[in-house]
Amino acid sequence: MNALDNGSSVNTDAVDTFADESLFRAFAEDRSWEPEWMVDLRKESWECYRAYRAPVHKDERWRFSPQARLSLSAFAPPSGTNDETASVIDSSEDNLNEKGVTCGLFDEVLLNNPTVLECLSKLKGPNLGADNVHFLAQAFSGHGIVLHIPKGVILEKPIMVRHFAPPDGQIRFFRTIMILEEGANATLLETFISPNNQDASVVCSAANVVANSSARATRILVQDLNRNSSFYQLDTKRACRDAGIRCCSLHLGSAQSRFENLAVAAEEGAEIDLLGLSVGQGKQLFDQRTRQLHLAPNGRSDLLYKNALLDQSKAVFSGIIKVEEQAQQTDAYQTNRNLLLSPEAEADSLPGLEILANEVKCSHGSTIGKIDDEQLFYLLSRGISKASAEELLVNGFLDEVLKRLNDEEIADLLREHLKGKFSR
Amino acid sequence: MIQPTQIDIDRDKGNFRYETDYQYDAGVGLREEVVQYISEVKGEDQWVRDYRLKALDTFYRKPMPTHWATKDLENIHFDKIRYYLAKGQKPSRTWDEVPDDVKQTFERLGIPEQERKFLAGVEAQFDSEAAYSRLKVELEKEGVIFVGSSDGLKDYPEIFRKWFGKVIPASDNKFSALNAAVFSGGSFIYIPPGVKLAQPLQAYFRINAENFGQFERTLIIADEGAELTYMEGCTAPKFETATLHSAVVELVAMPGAKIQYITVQNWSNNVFNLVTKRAIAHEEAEVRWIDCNIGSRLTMKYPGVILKGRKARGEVLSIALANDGQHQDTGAKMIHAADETTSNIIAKSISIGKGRSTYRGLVQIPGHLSNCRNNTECDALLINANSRTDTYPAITVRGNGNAVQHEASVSKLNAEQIFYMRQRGLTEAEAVSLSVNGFVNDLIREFPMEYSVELKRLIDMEMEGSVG
Repeated sequence: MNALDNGSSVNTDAVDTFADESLFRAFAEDRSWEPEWMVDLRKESWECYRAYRAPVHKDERWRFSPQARLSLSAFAPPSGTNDETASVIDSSEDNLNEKGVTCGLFDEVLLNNPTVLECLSKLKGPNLGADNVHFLAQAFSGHGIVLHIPKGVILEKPIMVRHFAPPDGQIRFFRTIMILEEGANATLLETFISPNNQDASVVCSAANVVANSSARATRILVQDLNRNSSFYQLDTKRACRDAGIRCCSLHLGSAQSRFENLAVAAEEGAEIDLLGLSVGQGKQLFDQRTRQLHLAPNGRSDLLYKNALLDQSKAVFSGIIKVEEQAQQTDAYQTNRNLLLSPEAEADSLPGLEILANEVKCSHGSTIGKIDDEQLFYLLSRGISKASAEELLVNGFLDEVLKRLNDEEIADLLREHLKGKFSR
Repeated sequence: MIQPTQIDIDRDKGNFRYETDYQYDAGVGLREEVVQYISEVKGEDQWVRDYRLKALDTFYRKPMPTHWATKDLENIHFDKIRYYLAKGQKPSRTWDEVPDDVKQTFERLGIPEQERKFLAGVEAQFDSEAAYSRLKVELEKEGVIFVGSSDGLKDYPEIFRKWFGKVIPASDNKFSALNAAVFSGGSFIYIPPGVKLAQPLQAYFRINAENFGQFERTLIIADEGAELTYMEGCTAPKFETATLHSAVVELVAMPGAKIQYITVQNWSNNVFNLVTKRAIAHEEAEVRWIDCNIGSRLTMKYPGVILKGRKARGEVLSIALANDGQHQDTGAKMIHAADETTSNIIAKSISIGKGRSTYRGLVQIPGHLSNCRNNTECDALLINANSRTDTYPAITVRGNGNAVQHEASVSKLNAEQIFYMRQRGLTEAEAVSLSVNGFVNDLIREFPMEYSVELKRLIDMEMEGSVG
């Protein structure tokens, strides 16, 4: 008597060029040099995309999100021939080759050292809503960075990469593959920027970070695209036994961005720190979805996302800590703090817990508030102008996240990006 | 201002229809005829009948909310449920006429007969009609109206029609639509301006017919400056097949009024308890929901307050206890719609064995408001290794004039506490029970005395056999 069928509706986009077989073929033909397994993987992912059906009811994973703003329907698949200037590696360490480190652009590694990427078909997406976009990233990726650190190798300096947005009206899929073998230690810092201030384009970054036993991986992402672009960040992190992963995402640019982050404490003693910072101006939208998944005992994960929102900007945070039955002695935290700096700014916060084990310490906290009047008064009474007082307080609010990086050099780099964001 | 009407206290007058040997049974399944039949039996006005039929239509159209709620909802077979049944039972007027098994349950919960006689008003609902009702004459002198839902709509339309279905429209959700279509029983209460009730009003009810769904409808209006505490408690014997309970409770707190609504429920393990509860708080009014959920197969209940007037205040205090095979999906909603409104939510849950407790919250503060505040705290206690708890709050705030904070934590029993108590000769079960009671103690203290004693016993009963 009621619509209880678990069926689904057909993709409603009028013309979906990503599903167009001739365009996909053209893309694949441009890349006929690729190994067989890569061809298969692309085909498989593309088929998955075509078969993907959005849920009939409104998807909880898109709750509060103005999903239409993040639509890709106005865009067409990229061509298979790569723009070699799309990503630039500014590595600061010299003897990477001697150490057996693979560090190169996605296509470069695929051509010269394909065995490193053979794990690609096993690396899944975060599946936190934009599943179809991840399929596309698997099918149409040509750009990105691959970093493979062999057992026991420790990189002292961070690997820095700049990724550039495509020209107007285009979409570009970047893959980040960061794999650390046993006991390795490395830091990767990626910056996404637009070549100019006008082009309206889409950048999609699909990253997989794997830290094997006792490895330490740090991945920093800075997104400072122009205000006409859209950004998708689809991250999957997996920490194995006694491994540690520390991530920080700084979102400053783009008109709208969707950030999905799955962090898996897969084996005993895994530790994961997730940090996020967003500063919204104008009508910017930051749509953040996270999942801390604990599969094994004695894991620890700690999330801190802070959003400072000016003008009519909007942030949606939706996070889950999931502790599986066998993951006893888990220590998991999740904190989302939002600072609303204008009467029209909006924050939606959906922190969540799903706990199936009892010997755990899990908590989450969420606040949405304004600048503390007393603190502001204190600064004003000392002759500081209102604008600079507010800037000081906002910077203080955000700095807690940067301090958690435990790396002053990188924190300073991020502070540079933040500078001037509040000048009104 | 509404003038209280002279109340007819001759209860016999309204009871004559029970004396016929009419078997008020609408049969099994949900059809338009069933709704027509219920309306017919109750002798309702045309507008109520139309309201029911429209709601039935809404019920058919609304999808099951399984995209966010548990899939267990799909196990409700709407065509196997009886929607109306009164058994032609005469309502009991005195304590002697209350059935023995009910008395036994009361006994087990430690409420002596003697004590109950002093309670101000008691409405005991067996099946869908009142079986035991008693109102103190003093209450009536004050102009308080305390009647069943059908009588309320029939005898006092000028008071109740204005708010009936306004706080919770039939189309609010699938189950509020179901209730609107087939409601029977429940209490309609009106407290005149300035009247402050010293004694809480109570309604005891239980389900005692297999495959029987209860669809109470409660509407409480506290006029300007009035104050009342309403308590409902439920006990239900065990049945083989699942039963459905889907109530709608609407509260209206006029300016300066205070309403405290207390629920202690202890459904049997096969009951689906899907309740919609919401209040409107006008200027400087205060609404408190105190909610204790024990038992049932699935409870979905999110008491809400719409803070409509300046300086209105809303509060939800909730205790949920989920044992094996039970899912307590409870929470709170706070919709801020005026300046300087404040709300507070404190939810504590206990999961025992394979029990699952879920907190689901909604807090909304739109941008044009200022100086609104919300505080939310959720604590979950897990007793056994395979117990489960979830927390899903949703907070939306616009503008830089408001502040919201939310905190949730999950913990297990404190091993040191248990060790300390065992060392002093308590058994493990006693120690665990004490520890659990300690966890909820600060909330239990908010309950009236007799309820807090009853609650502690209920928790003890649930904890039996959960350790060791």
